[in-house]
Amino acid sequence: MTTDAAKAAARDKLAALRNGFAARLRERVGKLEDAVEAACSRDDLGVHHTEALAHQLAGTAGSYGFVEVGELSAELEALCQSGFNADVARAIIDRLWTALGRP
Amino acid sequence: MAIRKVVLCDDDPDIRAIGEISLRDVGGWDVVCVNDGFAAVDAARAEMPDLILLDIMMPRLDGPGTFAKLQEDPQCSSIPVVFMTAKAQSHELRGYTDLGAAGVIAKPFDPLTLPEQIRALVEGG
Repeated sequence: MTTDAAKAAARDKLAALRNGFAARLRERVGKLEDAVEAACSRDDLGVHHTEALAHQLAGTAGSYGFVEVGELSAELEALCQSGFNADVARAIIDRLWTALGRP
Repeated sequence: MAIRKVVLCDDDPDIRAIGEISLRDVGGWDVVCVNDGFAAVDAARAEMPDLILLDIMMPRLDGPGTFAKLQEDPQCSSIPVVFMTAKAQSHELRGYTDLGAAGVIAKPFDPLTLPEQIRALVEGG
């Protein structure tokens, strides 16, 4: 078992990691938006790419404490699996940007 | 069975980073991080860990494929494997434990409680 001091140190390290992740999160959502646009205008390959990016972000964002971003990404992943809809996908991307706070 | 050393396998560097801090600093375990299934098999043979934490969805060799390779290797087949997945549908989770895994951890996870979750699965609480 770890000591309280070790846990406190872990919290500090996790906070630093979270800051780094937060700095990269806009870029990741931007890539997800690009993938959605490709899926809207092209083919199944774009949907699969969107699904893969959304799946990864669903697991990662939530683990870093960005719960809403994780949930919206999971929603987008599910949409890709159940039948891609361009309007719904774009609406999810819009909510993702809102969750991050638009510049 | 007490856990001392863990192999963590995930293709996402952000998950490896947060997982490593969780397992090492909160869990107090030695951690070896790898980024794909082939590297996980190599690390299992070289390190003989007490546990392998394995992402399901990875390029090249996915989690179930990696698990199958570990099961084929007499040296590694008894090492407990816990899958990690963002696919949290209950029928999918059951499918992974039916393969013979010690358990499944849903992503996202809380890094401050992940080691407790793993202990509950592998050490029986």
